[in-house]
Amino acid sequence: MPPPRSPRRWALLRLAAFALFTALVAALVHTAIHHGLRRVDTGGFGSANRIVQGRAPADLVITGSSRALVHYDPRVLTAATGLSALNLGRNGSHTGLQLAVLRTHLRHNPAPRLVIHNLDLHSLASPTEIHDPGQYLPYLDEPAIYAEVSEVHRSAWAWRHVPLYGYAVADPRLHWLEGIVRLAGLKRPESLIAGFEPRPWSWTGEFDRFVAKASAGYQVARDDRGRDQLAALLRLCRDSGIHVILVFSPEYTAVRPLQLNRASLLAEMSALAASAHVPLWDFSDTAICSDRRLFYNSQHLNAAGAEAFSRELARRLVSSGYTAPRLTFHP
Amino acid sequence: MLFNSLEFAGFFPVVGAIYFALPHARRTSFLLLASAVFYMAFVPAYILVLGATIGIDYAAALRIERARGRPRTLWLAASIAATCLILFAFKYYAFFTSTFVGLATLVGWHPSPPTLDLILPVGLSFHTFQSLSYVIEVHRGRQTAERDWRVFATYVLFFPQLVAGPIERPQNLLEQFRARHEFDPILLTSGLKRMAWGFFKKLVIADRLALHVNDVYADPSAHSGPQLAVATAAFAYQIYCDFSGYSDIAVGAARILGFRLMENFDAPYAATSTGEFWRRWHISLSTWFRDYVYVPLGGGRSGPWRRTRNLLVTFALSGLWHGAAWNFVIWGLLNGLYVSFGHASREWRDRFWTLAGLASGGAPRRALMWMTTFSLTCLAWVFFRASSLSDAIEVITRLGTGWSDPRVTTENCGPRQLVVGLAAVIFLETAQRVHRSTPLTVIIGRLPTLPRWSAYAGFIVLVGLAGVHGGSRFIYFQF
Repeated sequence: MPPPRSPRRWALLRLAAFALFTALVAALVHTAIHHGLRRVDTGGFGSANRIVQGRAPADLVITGSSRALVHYDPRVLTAATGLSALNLGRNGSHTGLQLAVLRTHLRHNPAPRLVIHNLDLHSLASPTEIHDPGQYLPYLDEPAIYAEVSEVHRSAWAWRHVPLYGYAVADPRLHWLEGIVRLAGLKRPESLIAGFEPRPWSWTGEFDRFVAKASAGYQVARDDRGRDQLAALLRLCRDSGIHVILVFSPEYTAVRPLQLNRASLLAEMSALAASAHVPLWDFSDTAICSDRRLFYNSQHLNAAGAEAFSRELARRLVSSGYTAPRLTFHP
Repeated sequence: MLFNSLEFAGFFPVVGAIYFALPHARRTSFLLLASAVFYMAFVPAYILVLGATIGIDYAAALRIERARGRPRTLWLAASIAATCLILFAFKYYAFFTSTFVGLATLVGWHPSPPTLDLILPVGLSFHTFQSLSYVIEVHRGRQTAERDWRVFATYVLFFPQLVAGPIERPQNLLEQFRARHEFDPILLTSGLKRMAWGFFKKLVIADRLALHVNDVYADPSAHSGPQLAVATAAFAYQIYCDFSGYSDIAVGAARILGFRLMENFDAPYAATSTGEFWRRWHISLSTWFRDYVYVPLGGGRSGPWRRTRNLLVTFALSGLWHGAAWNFVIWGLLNGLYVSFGHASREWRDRFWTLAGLASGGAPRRALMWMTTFSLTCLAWVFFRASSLSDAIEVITRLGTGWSDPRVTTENCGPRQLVVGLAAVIFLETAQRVHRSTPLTVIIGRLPTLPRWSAYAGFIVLVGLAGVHGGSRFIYFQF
């Protein structure tokens, strides 16, 4: 094609053609990353992929944030109760996203018999940001996940529909690399055990530095939306015929005096549990909580702590009648 | 308005299109207007500060040109004093009063000077120095005073280099506002490529490495020697890519409009001596201090002691130019000491290399010199980056601790981010090395259309994916 007479027009035409070409390359790369991530079968993406592929049936499902992820060892629970167990804990997730993950699980898998929902002091709060949104990007076609992500981030529609936009702006941890690596046929070693992530770490000192800066204590946020989301999770389980236990897993004892509204938050959670006729087991006052060797920071048990806590929880589950032979629970 | 913002992505094409659509006679006025809009996107009121600097130096230059003898020098002195007074009020007043109060307290006096509580206008030091270079050049008779205030105002306000340089000299830039710039497709593509390279440096390297640097330097006492060492080396590249990335975008944007800005960097970390480093780093500021401070002080003409004194004064002022805090002054003095020692020790070093059998140069000698230069530069960067002098000392004293735990990652910068940052730095250094013999754009330009477009599109996608898009400010904006 002979160039038009105006060099300006010709240059702009070429520029427009190049922009179109770049958009095409972006769309191809987006598709490659998306498919790569959906084929990952280890780690957090492997765990999520098994859920959306309907390959994650379990009698007992654990939901919650990072405290759920690193505190509950499904092997210990299964060995004690005979119930197959799966950990759905998600790093940094708030109750709304924990509910979305559970909904997604129920959409693709048979309903579990029992849900253990892990609580922390942030369970009644809805955040203004999603922690590490990159972990949800390949799953924005899941209605529950998309609804919650877009509730927090208005631009989630662009993450979902504009090629590469989500991976560019909402994936600072570069999860997309995992998709490329998987497409190249490489696999990362498995870091999770039925969704559980044991962290064999020693005390990091992070909490001590925090105390030095916030010795006067701090208020933990709560809001009505967060409370409603916890209530919705309980309702969803009731409507699906699933038993629920709310569990407040161990926290390092020394953090409690700093949490100025701890008592009122726990009272609100207890009231919510009581109104839904759901048991709330509080492990934040057990012997584990005062043993610093079992934690790596104030909120998280290390691998040894997780094992100790899982055994304690398993004993209580068994003593309360949550065991496999009794397919209908009558705790 | 940040270069790495959606606002600029809309602003620049619109300005470019209108600029070329306008008749030549109206273009400078339009550029002035666009530059004012660009600047007012930060804090609108501060355009008045810039207006004062422009007004003072515009009027002073006309007076200087007309005057002869002592009045000519007096007009220059008045102009410099007035311009620097603005800089002092906004940038240095709090520093000097707190230092004064500190010293007075030592002798039992407790003065309470008034506080101004002013926020530093973005890029004040840059446009102040650019404006000063104009009046000095007029005084030296190497530049005629500009009669058209719009041309002079646009010279100071020109938006691509307004907030972080390059600090232009009037001989290079002023005349370009009179020249007729036709739309040139070659300049358009060349400018866009240069801007893309700048975005790569800023978004992929600087902002990625910043994740690690910010974690570590926020609390040096909580991090081990390996983490501090990695963060310090990372900061060396963060600040280089942040600032040179800005310069690349500025040069590219100006080029699209038909303007040629000076180069501000020349692969500084390839330097094998600190003197060479300073010939490659922030060239527009280094040459400014050389021409207007170091040489007038006597430079290296009056013996080694005077040279050392002049170097230390020049580098201390350069440190103070960067920030009104003692750690910046120490950073400057440290670099002054490096360069002075480099001059003073030349003979001893030559003897050392002869004894070591490396008199004729070669790769081992260059590698040793490069490592020494990079390490010394990084040591000085500690003072530049640390939040306070005590933090800088904490970093240096902790550098040797905790090496039994080789973990270098931090909360916000995991292994993936570090690997990507490191890979990007290696790519940058390789590209810069290749570029010295044949520019990368020339090599890629020789390819047929499809692979050439694929290379450029792939690069853009890579910048999009591997970059950090939080709209972070350029470090040098604060100066």
